[in-house]
Amino acid sequence: MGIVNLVMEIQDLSAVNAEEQSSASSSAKPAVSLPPGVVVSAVSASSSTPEAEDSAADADADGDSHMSAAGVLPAGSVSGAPDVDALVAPIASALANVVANVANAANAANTNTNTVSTGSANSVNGAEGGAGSAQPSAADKAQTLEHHNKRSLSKYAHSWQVPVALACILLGIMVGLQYRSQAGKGDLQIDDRRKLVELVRTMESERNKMSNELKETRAHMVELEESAGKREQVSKQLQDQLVRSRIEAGLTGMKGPGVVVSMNDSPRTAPASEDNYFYIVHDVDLTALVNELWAAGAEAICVNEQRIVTRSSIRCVGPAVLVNGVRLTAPYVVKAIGSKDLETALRMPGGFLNSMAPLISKGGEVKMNSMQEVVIPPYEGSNSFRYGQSFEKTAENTATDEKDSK
Amino acid sequence: MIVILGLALGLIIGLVFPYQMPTIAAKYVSVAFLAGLDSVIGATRAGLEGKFRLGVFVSGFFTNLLLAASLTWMGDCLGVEIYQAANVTFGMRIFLNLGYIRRDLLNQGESSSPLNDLMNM
Repeated sequence: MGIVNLVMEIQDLSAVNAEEQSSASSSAKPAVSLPPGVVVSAVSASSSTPEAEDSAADADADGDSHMSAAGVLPAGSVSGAPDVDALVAPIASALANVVANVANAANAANTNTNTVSTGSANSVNGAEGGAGSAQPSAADKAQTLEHHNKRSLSKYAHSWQVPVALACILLGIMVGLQYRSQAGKGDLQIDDRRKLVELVRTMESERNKMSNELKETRAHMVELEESAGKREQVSKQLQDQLVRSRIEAGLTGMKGPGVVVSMNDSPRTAPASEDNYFYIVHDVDLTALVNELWAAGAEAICVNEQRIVTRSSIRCVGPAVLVNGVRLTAPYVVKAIGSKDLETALRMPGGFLNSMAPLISKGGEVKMNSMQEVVIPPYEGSNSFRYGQSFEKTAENTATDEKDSK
Repeated sequence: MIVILGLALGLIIGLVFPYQMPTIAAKYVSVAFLAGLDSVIGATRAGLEGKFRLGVFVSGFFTNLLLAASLTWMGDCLGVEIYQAANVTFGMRIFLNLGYIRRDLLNQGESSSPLNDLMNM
């Protein structure tokens, strides 16, 4: 209502005829013609048009100036004189509070067209200049208002935000990618560890189950032997079992795929200031190697053609090593029969090969080769038992043993 | 504001994208991000004060990124952590510009009240 009142008043002031004013007001809709490109706020009171006609005289009673912010007003309105419209356009672009204040001032000074035109667009001032009847003091006030009035909706004031937003998108992408690549690694490690622990537990329980099955099967076998009625069957079974027992005792040679590890002392001599411990191969190295091979699933091992059986020992004596009571010297060739995993197990990070690093760094030599055919000789030592007495594990003493171990 | 929307959009894109950022680039990206952030905040302040110039912003943004990355790389070559100097400088400038922005926003709020307008008229 306010802006239309103002429009009417100005038309009244600048126009010569009252008919012109009434014609303009009767046909006036909120839309007014504008210079293009100016974002303005428009008046929403189309219903106030007839009121404006009536109350054109008392235009300063417009305390309730409802202005609704809109986009660019459609050009091609139907107000009266085109010159007045050009004036009205910048007027319509001011904000509500400014217009209210200025309407009061406009009543005081009749030709204060320019006071109202406090849009932030420069085109506003241009249109004003073309309209004539400008008052310098009002124009100055308009300038200060424009300077303080950052909330104007002209596109010009927002033009810095678009490139800044684009740059922010780029920055956000960088940070997001960075975060992703950092965070992803940590999570994976934790998951892997948990999974591995679960895997170990599963395998252990499976192994326990299988060893129980094995115990039962062996007991069953003993029962079968006892219950066999025919002599031929009994002797055949005994024969088979005997052969198997010899194999398990290491009394037969073995052939199969496996790994060959050769270790040699360093050809260099240690300087006088240094201990020469790391320049030679020790019995503990051989023990560790044999231990690792058993753990990795070797089925037969020999050191320099000495078969390693349950009673074998590896001891240091001077510059030589005693295996099964036989003196051996470097280079030491350790052969083992098993799967390809043997070499992998030896090369494990933190495993046997890493533990030999001091020797290797001093010039010692540790070589590993997986072979298709490894020949391991039988054990030729004595197997007498002077102190031990054998007994078979039955259900009774099995239960007792388990109780004791708990 | 559209700027914050832009930042959020960029973050979302970066997080959703199948991650291919090599680990080596980690240190460079963090310093470059700081340099870019300083440039962006400086541009925001200039925009709020009406002194924004597109050429200055774009050239400054990319120059800062390049300078920060090359400082980090040179520090790696020399074994001296030169990028800390860039971090300190950019951090200082960010806080300074944020202070100005804050003041600008508060001043805007004050001056557009009707009382102020009446008094200034």
